[in-house]
Amino acid sequence: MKTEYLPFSNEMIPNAGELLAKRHTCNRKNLPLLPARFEDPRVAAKAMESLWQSKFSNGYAAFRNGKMVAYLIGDFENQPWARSGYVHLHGYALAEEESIATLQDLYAVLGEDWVRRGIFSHNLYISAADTKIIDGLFAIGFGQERVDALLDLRRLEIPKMDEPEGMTIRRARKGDEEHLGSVAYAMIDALSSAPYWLPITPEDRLGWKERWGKRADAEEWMVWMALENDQTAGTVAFILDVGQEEEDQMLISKHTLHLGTAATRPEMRGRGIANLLTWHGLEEAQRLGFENCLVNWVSSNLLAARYWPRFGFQHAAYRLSKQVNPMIAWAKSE
Amino acid sequence: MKAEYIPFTNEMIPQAGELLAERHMRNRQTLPSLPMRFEDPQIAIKAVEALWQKKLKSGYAAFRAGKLIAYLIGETSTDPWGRGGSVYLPGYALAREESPAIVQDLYALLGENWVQKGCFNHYLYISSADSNILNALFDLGFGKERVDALLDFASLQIPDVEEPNGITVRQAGKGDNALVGSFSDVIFRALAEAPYWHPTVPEDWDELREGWSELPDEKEWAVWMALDETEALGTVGFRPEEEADTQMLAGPHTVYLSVGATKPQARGRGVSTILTWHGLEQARKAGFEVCYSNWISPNLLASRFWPRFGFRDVAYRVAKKVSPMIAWARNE
Repeated sequence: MKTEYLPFSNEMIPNAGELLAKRHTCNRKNLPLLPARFEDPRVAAKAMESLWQSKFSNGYAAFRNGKMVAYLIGDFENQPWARSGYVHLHGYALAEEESIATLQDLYAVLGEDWVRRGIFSHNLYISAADTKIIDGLFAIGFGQERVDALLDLRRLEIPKMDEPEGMTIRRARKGDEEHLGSVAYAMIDALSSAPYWLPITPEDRLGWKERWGKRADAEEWMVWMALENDQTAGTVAFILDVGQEEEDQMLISKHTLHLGTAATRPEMRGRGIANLLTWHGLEEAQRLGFENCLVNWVSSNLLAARYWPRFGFQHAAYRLSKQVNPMIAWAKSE
Repeated sequence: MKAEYIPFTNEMIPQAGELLAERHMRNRQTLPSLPMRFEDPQIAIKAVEALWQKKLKSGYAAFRAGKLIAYLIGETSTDPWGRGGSVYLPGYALAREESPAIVQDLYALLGENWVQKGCFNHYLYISSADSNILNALFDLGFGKERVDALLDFASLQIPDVEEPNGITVRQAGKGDNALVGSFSDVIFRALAEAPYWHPTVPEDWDELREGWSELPDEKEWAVWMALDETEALGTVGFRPEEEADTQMLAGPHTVYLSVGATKPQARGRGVSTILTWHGLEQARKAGFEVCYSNWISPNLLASRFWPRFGFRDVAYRVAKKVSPMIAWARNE
């Protein structure tokens, strides 16, 4: 029997929640660090509900013999670099026996909605365990943009490391705002370099510096910094309160912290500064009772993509992206 | 020892050709339908040379301990849908023992060169046998855009297919220009649909119609049509694919299935299936040994249809689109 594709509606939430719970149960077989709670269809349905209530949500579901076999729900945001459509981790599920073609078809209808609204940057978060879906999206033009990864702190062995001579490693505190803000550009510049080329508008650059500076004495942040001759050589910043147990955080279990940002001044790279800061931070996280560490990096930021896996982070999800040529708004025959 | 990256120069062509010949030999272990001739370093050198003679080329090479271990050569173009850069099939090679991270690094240099020239659409043609390179490019944001495939007639079994009721299948000839021309918009309309959304500018539509209308007069072409009483419903067009310096997918006696189109109202009746089997049978009778074709992978109609005939993926065009905002929105 043929598959029927319908716009997603409120009444579909319980069925979608069940599909999501089944997907998550499957995903956890390969990725045991994922939180167990989304295996409960009620928790999964609640995640769906909050997603569907977001202001700009739109989505479609696939049915066969009256039974839901897949769904895809997205929303969008005006980013400084583009109007961008997103499908978050709880925004998709495909029944186990179903072909990936069903999800490609759902994306074709969801993506068409986005294109008609002038949303040409399409981004889908997909579990790293869903390799067939990833292949199916690669086949229709999606490339990998971001890696989300988890590290089990309970099994992590922290190596003994010596601090480079003349360098001070310590936690940031009130008064360190300028120090922290002074290295924000290192990350911005890495993202806007080849082969990622993320455009960062001049007015946004100022905002980055300010945001990084504010972390100095913020309760929810734990920022480690390396200082040499009173100049910041690098920082690694962890978010301590990541909204654990929030209904839509599919990568976060109890006692998870998030390695939010890291930057080393370019001229000081190669001296093991980020290494030292990261191990310090992870050790402190262990001491504070955290069990998992979440991090994400842009996979075409080669410095980051070749660096973070060394600590033992396991890929948990990817953001796949596809950029549509805006000319399609006028260069087609209707 | 660290790899060293330097701009490609004329003097590197012989070493690059040798690397390409080695790559092709490896590719043929998985894809035996590929032409053998590029295993010969002299032929491979000629292919690299032909690329390097292009007016708008640029490229980089990676060396370790004085030895060329990889290269990436591309060419820029200005297309109606944007300025772009392309690396064609002979435009890359990576020594067997080297990591695909080297190709990522070479792309970072070549891509930067393209971006600085305002070329924001990046295309790389990669052998389907080079899965490690494809994975490394996927990691950099490249998605699959085109599939190039081969069908070996030696192992092809052509089924007996009956013509659907009321439909006649015949080869197009003199006087069929308008009938064949009536298909000119079918493909570009399909490409403009989700999930490919490829723009074709209106001023190109008439030219496309002219091009299609001329096909019945082209001596080398074999164009098959399916018609009912009133109109042409579908067409499939073949032409010989010549062995050329840079055509790494064509051997002797290769036919190219270049176009296939069924009008939307006639879909689902088996029109394209019968046309394609007819065409393949006739091509085999004419002495061709291999059929080459390509399709756009996000064109779901095409990508779910052509593999049914037994075509085997041999290469992919992977694509990445850079935001043109990068021209002004970064710190220099």
